[in-house]
Amino acid sequence: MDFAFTDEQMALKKQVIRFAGHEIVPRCAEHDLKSEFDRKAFKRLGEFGILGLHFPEELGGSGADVVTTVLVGEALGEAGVDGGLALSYGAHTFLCADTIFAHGNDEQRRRYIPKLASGELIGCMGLTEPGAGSDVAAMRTRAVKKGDRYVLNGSKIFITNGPIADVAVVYATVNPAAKHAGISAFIVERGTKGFSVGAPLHKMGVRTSQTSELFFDDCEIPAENLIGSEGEGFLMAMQTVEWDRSALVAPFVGAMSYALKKCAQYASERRQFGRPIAEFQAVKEKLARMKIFIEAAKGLIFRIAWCKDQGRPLNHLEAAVAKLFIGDWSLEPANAAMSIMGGYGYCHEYEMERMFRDGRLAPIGGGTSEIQKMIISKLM
Amino acid sequence: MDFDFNKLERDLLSKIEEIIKDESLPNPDISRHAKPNEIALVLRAWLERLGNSGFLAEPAGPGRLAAQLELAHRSPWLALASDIGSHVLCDLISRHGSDEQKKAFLEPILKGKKIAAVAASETLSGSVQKTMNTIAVKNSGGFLLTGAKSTVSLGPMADIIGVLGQIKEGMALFLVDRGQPGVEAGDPLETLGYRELCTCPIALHDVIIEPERIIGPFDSSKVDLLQELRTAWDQVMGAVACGTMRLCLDQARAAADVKRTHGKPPAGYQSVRFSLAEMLTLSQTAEILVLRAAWAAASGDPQAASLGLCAKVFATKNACEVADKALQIMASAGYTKPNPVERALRDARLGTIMGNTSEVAQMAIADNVLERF
Ligand SMILES: Cc1cc2nc3c(=O)[nH]c(=O)nc-3n(C[C@H](O)[C@H](O)[C@H](O)COP(=O)(O)OP(=O)(O)OC[C@H]3O[C@@H](n4cnc5c(N)ncnc54)[C@H](O)[C@@H]3O)c2cc1C
Repeated sequence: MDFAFTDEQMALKKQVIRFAGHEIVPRCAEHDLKSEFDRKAFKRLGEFGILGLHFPEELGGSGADVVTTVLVGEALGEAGVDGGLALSYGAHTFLCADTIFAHGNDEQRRRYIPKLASGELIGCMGLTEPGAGSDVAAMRTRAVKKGDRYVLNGSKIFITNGPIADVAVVYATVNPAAKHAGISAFIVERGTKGFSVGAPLHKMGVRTSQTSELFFDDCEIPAENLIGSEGEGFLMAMQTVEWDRSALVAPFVGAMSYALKKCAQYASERRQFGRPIAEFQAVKEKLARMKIFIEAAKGLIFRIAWCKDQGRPLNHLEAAVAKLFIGDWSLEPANAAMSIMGGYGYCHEYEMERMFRDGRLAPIGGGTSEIQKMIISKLM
Repeated sequence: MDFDFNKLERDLLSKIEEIIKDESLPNPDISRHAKPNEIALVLRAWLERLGNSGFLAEPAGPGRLAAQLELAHRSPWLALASDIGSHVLCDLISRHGSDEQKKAFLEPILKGKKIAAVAASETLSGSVQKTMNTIAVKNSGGFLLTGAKSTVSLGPMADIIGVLGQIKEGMALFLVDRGQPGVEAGDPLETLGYRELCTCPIALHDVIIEPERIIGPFDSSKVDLLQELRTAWDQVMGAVACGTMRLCLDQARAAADVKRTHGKPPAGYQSVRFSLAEMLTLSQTAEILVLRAAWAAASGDPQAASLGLCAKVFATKNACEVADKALQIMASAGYTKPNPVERALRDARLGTIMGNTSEVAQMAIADNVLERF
C-alpha cells in the first residue's frame, strides 16, 4: 500500500489553491449573498484547465487521471471556493460533459467536449423528477421516436445549472413499462423548441449554483442526440456515481479543511477570559474532531478515484460508504466549526455560515444518506 | 498511490489467515473464569505459532497492521496480547537498545518464546506523567530498582517485563525477568474487559538490574520514552479496534438473518439494515484511516504523528459504537454471557483509554492544527 501523492500532484494542488484563493474566493461572498452564478469565475476555471482536466488533450483537456482530478476538487474547497461554484463545476464536468465523453459517439464528443472543457458552453444533467427522486425508475419524462427525431415530454426538478445551461444531458424513458431498462439519455440544447427552464429555486445553500426545473413540451430533438443506445441511460446515470462519490464530494472535504484553517486562526486570535479561546480544551476538541473527519474522509474518496484509475468497475458498496460518511459524519464537525466562531459564525461576513449551509447538501444531493444505507445493507 | 496490498503484504495476510484457521491451536475464546496459568498456556501456543511463522518479527507498516487487524477479528485479546511484546516493547528495544541488547532480548519475544509485558503506569501518575516514581539507584554491580506499577497487562504470566523507571540522568527502560527476586505481581485486577490480559499491579523492591538490562537513561528533551510507548500503543489499539468492528459486524449480520417463528428476521426491518450499514461504514472508514496512518509512520511522512492520533481516536471510539450497535441488534442474546459481542463491547472500552486517551490525543491533534495555521 502506498498513500502518497506524486510531487506533480501536490504542486498542482498548491497552484490551484493559490489561483482560486486569489481569483475566485474574494468574489464568493457577494455572489452567494445575491444567489448569483459567478460566470466570470466559472470561465476562469475553464481557462485554468479545471473544467476539462481529465479529458484528453485533443478534446481540450489535460488528460489528468482521476486521483489528480479529485485532488483538484479538494483543492477548490480547501482554497475557500463556495460550495455553489464547486457544484456548478461538478454538474457541468462530471454529470453532463463526462456522460457525453464516456458514452457519446465521436461526433458528439467533438461537438461538445472542447467547448464544455473551456467553459464556452455550460452543461447540466437532468435526472431527478418531481415524482422520481430517490426512486429513479419511477421516471415519467417520455421520449417517443418519430422518424429521425425524438419527442420529449415531461419535467425535471432540482437541476444544477438548469437556468444557465447551454447543453443538457436529459434522461427520459422510451418505455415506461420496462422501468430501468427503458431509461435513455439525450442531449438537448438550449433554444430547442419545446424546451424551457423554470426560475432559479431559492435554496438554503450552494446558492451561487443555479437550480431549476426543466420542462419538455413536445420538445423535438434530432435522433442523433441519443447518447449510446436506447435503454442504456440508467447505467450511464449509475456510472456518474463514481464521479459523484469522489470528484463531486471532494470539495466538501476540502471545504472542511478551509473551515479548520479559519477556525484555528480565529481561535488563536479571539481572546476571552484573558486568553485565546484556542487554549480552552472544549475549543481544541472541536478542532480535533474536524481534523479527524477530514483525514477519515480523504481515504474514502481517493480509494474510489484510485480504483477508477485502475480501470476497475465501480465498487458500489465502497462508493455508498464514501457518500454516506461524507454526508452524515460531516454535519457534526460543521456544527463544531460554527460553534468555534461564536456569534460571528452565524453572520454572513464570516464564511462559516455559508459553509454550514453549503455543506448541508452533502447528505441529500446525488442520492440521500438513506439511499446509501439501502445500497450498503443490500450489498454487504 | 496504491490502495492494494503489495505482494509482501498479501503474503503476510495469507500467513495470518492460515494460522487463524489452524485447528491444532487452542481456541482463544477462553472462558472468563480461566486462571492466569490457563490463559498463559493458550497464549504461549499462539505466540509460538505466530513467532515461528515470522509474523511477530514483521516490520511495522500497513501489511503488518492489516494482519494484526485480521488476528483481532478472530480474537481481540490475542491480537493485543501478542502485540504488547512484539510491537510495543520490541519497538523500544529495537529503536534504542545496543546491538547486544537487541540480540539478547528481541529474539525470544519475536520468536514467540517469551511472553512480554510493559510496566509504565503508576498510581495517580495520570496521562501527563513525565517522570517516574520507580527509581533505580546505583549499587556495586549495577542498579537496584524500586517502585510500584499499577496496571500491567499480562503481568502474572510475563517472562520479561519492560519497566520504565528513573535514573538520576533521566528515564530508562529496565528489562526485568518476572522471576527475579524482588518482583512481585499482584492478583489480577477486576476489569471491565480484556480479563484475559490479567492486568495486575507489580511491586518492585530492590530488584538487581545488571547494566546490560538497562536501555537509556535518556534526556527527556531528546527521547520521550513514555510518548514513544503511547504511540506504539495507539497503533496497536487502532488495529485491534478495527478487528473488533469486523467481529461485531459478523455477529450482528448473522443475528440479523436469524428467522423468527413470528414475523420477519431482524434484517427484514429497515432500521436494523440501516444500523448494519452504519456499522460497515464506520468499520471501513476506520480501516482505511488506520492503514494510512501505519503507512505514514512507516514511510516517515511528516504528518504521521497527527494522522496516527486521528486514526486511533476514530477507530477506538467507533469500535465502541459498532459493538454497541451489534449488541442492540442481537438484543437479549447479545446481552447474555458468554457471547463475543458482549465481550467486545466491554473490551472495546479500553481502546479510548490505553495509549494516548482520546482526550489527550485530541488536544495533541488540535495543537498540531494550531501550529500549522
Ligand atoms: C441543490 C441541489 C442540486 C441538485 N442537482 C441535481 C442535478 O443537477 N441533477 C439531478 O438530476 N438532480 C439533482 N438534484 C436532485 C437530488 O439528486 C435529489 O434531491 C435526491 O436524489 C433526493 O431526491 P428527492 O429530493 O426527490 O427526495 P425523496 O426521494 O423524495 O426523499 C425524501 C426523503 O425520503 C427518504 N427516502 C426515500 N426513499 C427511501 C427509502 N426507500 N428508505 C428510506 N428512506 C427513503 C430520503 O432519504 C429522504 O430523506 C439536486 C438536488 C439539490 C438539492
